[in-house]
Amino acid sequence: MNRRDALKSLLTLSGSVTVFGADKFLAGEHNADVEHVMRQFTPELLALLGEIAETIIPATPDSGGAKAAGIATFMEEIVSNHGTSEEQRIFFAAAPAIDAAARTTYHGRGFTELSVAEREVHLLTYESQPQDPGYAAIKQLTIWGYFTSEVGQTEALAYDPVPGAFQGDIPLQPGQKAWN
Amino acid sequence: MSIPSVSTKGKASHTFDAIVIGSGISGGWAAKEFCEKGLQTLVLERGRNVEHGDYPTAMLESWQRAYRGRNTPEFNRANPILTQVGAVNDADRDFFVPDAEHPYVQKQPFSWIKGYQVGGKSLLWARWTQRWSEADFEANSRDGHGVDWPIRYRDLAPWYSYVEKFVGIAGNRDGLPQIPDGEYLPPMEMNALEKHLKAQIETNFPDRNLVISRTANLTQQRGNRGPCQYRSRCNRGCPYAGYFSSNSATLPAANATGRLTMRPFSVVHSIIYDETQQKAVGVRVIDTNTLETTEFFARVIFVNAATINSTLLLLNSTSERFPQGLGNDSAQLGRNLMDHNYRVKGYASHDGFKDRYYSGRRPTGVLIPKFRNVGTDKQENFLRGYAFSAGGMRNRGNIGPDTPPIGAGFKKALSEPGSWGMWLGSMAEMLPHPENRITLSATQTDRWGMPQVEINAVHRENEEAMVKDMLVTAEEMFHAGGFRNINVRDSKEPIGLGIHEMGTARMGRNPRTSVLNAHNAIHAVPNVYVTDGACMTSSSWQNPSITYMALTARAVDHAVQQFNRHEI
Repeated sequence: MNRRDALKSLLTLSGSVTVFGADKFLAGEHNADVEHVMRQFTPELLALLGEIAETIIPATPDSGGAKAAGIATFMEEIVSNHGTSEEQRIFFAAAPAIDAAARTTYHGRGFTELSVAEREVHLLTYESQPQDPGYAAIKQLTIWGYFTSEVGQTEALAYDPVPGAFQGDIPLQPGQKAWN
Repeated sequence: MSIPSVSTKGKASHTFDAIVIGSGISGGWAAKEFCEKGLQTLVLERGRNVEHGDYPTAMLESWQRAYRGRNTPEFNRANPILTQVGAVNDADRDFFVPDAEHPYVQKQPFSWIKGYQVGGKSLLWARWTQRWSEADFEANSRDGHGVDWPIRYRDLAPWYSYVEKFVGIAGNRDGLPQIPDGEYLPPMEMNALEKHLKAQIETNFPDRNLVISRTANLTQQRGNRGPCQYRSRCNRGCPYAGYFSSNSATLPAANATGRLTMRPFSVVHSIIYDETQQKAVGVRVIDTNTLETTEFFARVIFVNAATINSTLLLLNSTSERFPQGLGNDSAQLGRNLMDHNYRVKGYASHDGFKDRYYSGRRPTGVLIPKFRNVGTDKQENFLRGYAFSAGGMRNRGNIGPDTPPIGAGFKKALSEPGSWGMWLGSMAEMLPHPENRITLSATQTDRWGMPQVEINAVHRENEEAMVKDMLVTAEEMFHAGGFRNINVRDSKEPIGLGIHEMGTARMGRNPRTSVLNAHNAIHAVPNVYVTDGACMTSSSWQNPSITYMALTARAVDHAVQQFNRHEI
């Protein structure tokens, strides 16, 4: 399995592959006007994306979450450089829509003003099928970016860059994380 | 390594005992053997120098890599051929040749994958090192396809041992006639799923076996090389010298003699044939930086430019005596191009062994050696046979029906070891066929002024019949192992992606039907030897590098005897 297949497999496991996201991002579509797209990543949008991503992959006692991994900046880089114009349109509409829906449900409070528990309840409404393609894109980018980040690799996974030995068949120890 | 000045035109300073064209896996061996046997040796390498240790991406982690290790969109668009190779990524692509650098003509789809630097593709090889068997050298003579090999297993066996002892190969002595045992370091271990599949295959199919691949990674230190650190980042170049490459092993040995001269940026235009002496006297070299032509001279010349470039060079070396290319009296030069058929690929998952794992990244896989047309087995629909490579692993991410789709529980599940999976790939023999061939374009040249190569090769009836059988046997072995989500398919990928292109200057007994003799010298030009894949008379199914190494060491031994007796 190459990395592309592996990533697809991971995204399939997460239940997020719909009409948008992994395949197109992985196909390496290129946006000619990167600067123009990057200007749409305002500080407000980056903050909102960071909180949505943190709700998907939060900090836990053993490891930092999506914010510590710099996922919003990662999204900015990938969407600006790789997204097609249609994908960018869907992506840029997604976070504001999530925020607007929160204001409707929570009486004027935006997503970043919700408690952690409320944020999770709110995002769970997007997990029903068929999944919203904009939300799916945010979720996929969060998973991909997190598990290739330094935080994800070294804290969330069992980081072992120079194993020095190979043991082919050993018991799985309680609490053993997957190798990075 | 000393590098001669381009401006030095004096013939004496351009004269060596031996010239080796190419510094990859076979050229590196030629250089080592010549130097250690006392000959002043010039190695001509078309690419840049890569000193052992000069591996800038070797220690990079995913977050330090552009696009997190993916190829950039620009790279993918510019390299539709190269990016068919799954191993190509931002950390190793500087060892591969971009599509645009060296154009060629595909008369039929053929993906020509190249590595132009000191060390060539020895930095990138899969390191699988199964020996050929008795039956493999006899195959042409038995069924009449191609010409008979002029050597047998017993001729090469001592040379396999000779190179294996230096290379350092991890492997098990399995006692199987299809893969004769060699000189091995302790083998790497199989994981739980591989052990399971081995037991199921060997129980349900008594003619089949599953073994750990013999692999040129060091399970024990060898001199100042290794041991393998089990990072499985070999393609980036290994700072630990955990695997064999020209850069880490043969070229340093050659250099240690003080007799090696390495000249990078040197495309060999042609071999100079002297009509009076009736032998080759030197080579014409194009400097890739200046495009100036320089000549170098030697009494013996080894051609190790990798199959297609070696034959391109011979076809381009015309003279009054050899108007159709050096040594091409048989008109076989360029014909019988082969590559291993890797079209059949499979993947399946397994629900068991949730309590087992592994530690470290093993840089090799397991092997199901050839079982068709072995011993008393006789297939009705095809000649020769095939093997499968395979490997088991535990996927990352343990998502179940009750796993929450977001939040701490989701993160925890993604961080855990998940289900087991097994990949599998075919490694099938391709018959030598005279119409599978390379020729030189009459009109198109490359940036160095060499003719472009036209490649015209297809899989024929025997290869297609074997694909059908491989689809069946791969699937039935997955079933026997209790796998689920079994997906076995014919990828229909172009020839060439085995990156085992071979043939086109075959060895043989008869000068009228072959290019090279039993010692890899051109029949009619006894001081020019070809010991890379171009020399191959048939392809068998084994990854070929260890055979090229053995053939090269044997050929140098012969050449030096001739040299010392002044017969060349």
